[in-house]
Amino acid sequence: MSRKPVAKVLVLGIVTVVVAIVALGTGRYWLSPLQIVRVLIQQIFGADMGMDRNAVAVVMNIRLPRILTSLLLGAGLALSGQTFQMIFRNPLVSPDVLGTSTAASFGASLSLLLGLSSFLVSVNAFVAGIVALMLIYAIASRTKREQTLALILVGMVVSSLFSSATSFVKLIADPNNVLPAITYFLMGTLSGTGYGELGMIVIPVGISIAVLLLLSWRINLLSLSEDEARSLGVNTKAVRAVAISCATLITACSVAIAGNIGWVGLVIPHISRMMVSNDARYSFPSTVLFGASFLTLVDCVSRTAATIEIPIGILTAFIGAPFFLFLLFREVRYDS
Amino acid sequence: MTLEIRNLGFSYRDHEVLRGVDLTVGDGEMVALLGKNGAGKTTLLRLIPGFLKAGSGDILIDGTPVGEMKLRDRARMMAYIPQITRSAFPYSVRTSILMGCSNSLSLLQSPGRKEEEQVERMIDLLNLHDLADRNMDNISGGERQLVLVARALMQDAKLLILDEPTSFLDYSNQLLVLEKVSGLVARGYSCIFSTHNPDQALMHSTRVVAMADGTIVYDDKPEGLKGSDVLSRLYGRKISVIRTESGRLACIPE
Repeated sequence: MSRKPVAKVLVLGIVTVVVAIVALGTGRYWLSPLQIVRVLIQQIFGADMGMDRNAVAVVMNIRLPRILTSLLLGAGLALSGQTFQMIFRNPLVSPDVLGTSTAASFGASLSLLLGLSSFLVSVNAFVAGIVALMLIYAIASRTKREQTLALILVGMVVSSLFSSATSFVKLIADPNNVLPAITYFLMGTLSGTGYGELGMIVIPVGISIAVLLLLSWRINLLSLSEDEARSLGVNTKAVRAVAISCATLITACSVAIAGNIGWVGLVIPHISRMMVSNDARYSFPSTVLFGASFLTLVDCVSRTAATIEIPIGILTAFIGAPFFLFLLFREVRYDS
Repeated sequence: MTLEIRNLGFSYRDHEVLRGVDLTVGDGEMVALLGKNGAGKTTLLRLIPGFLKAGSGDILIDGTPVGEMKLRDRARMMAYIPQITRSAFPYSVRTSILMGCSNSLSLLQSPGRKEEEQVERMIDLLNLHDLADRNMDNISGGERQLVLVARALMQDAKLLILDEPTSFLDYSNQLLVLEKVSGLVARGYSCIFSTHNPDQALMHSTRVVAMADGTIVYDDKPEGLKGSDVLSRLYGRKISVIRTESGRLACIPE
């Protein structure tokens, strides 16, 4: 067991906790990390730590659900990207490679056009994403091509179909109120996220992350060639199907409550592999922690930087790009 | 362990690639597969581990059809070592070897201390100590091939299937890889490898199988090629096999 990657994962775990605590205190009503810890202890253990009711209300009712959501989605999106990159043996792939989030975006736009409640917008986005995945799988498995390639090609087709459909919805939407709502939703934002939204996704996303973490060793093997993986005794079809389903479930959930949040699923996996390891036993947990703290940090900026909320989908690249460039210019690190 | 192939046939659509192939490989045999491009070598080697489904005939391991075995049981019987591959995510040498243990783990299990100790034994066995702390992207092609052999041994497989293990390797690496594999065969492993270099068959194999147009045209000891016209007919030009002063066989195109 190599100790270095394990140590790095532990450090990342601490970083994530710190980021979460700082994020809980950040906002117009500022609270120090120490005050946050006192609020949490007061709430969890019922001990009186002398925090007033306002502070408790801001932290527990407004910020906590939003920060738990950003932790969960950041972790999920990054891991979903890492999984797709390894399964398709391609570091340029993002969670949207199969077009499931394009489909989810269509589901959401159509629901907004029809004036449905925000609950139904989420449900329909989720359903559209899952239906798209099943469609892609059904078509790809009927082709006589190598499965990973077939999935990508069919995904491309399905994705462009849904993206045209979304454009059509935008075209016929009322430009005075519905169109801006669609546009704003698709940009990606965690604004207004409460326990209701968190409750909708916590189980599917939580379970998907857990399953992917448990499958990490098998996914290592899937990143070899198909023949190699099979000759090592891996049931490639089954493992791939489970992993893709989990990764897609996460993506669909994310679009359903927060719209399109790009970049996290593409770049956090790279950062995690560069800084920790290519070995999924270490890169998976580190991707989860990196993604969680990154999205939480970005969301913090998105709600505090300006008087209006800046959609998080816009900010992820602005904040992540310089860091990624810095890593690119560093010396190449190899696993050993 | 015995690999038995009986009356094997295979076609891609209308194109018949293999027909009536019979071949038996037992313990301690190192079988070299010769033949021109398109003779069916790779197809045969891909049929044995079940990457392709046979059109007709049987492939049996100790009497059990390969197609009826579970993937993980198959992985315990035989290991397939591909031509040089580069991974999009290059792993460390140790992790690469460790991957061989996967057939003994349950679906959600990751390798632990026991498997990691086994990796060290494989490194000892193949004398890979100089490579052990490096990355697959930072070692030569021949060294990478040896790491894949070590991974195959981790599988606990007794039959090693190597498809052109020496293509893209320089001369010293070619010798290195084949000598290491010969050493394993001497310890009771068996091996079937394809090659475009008949000298490798003459030098390293215990048996030569020559294929032309999807059938086996020669299956005997390498010594049998001396004085025969098998190689000449196989490659369409005059090739003679001689015995050197040190007793080795070598071929010389005239």
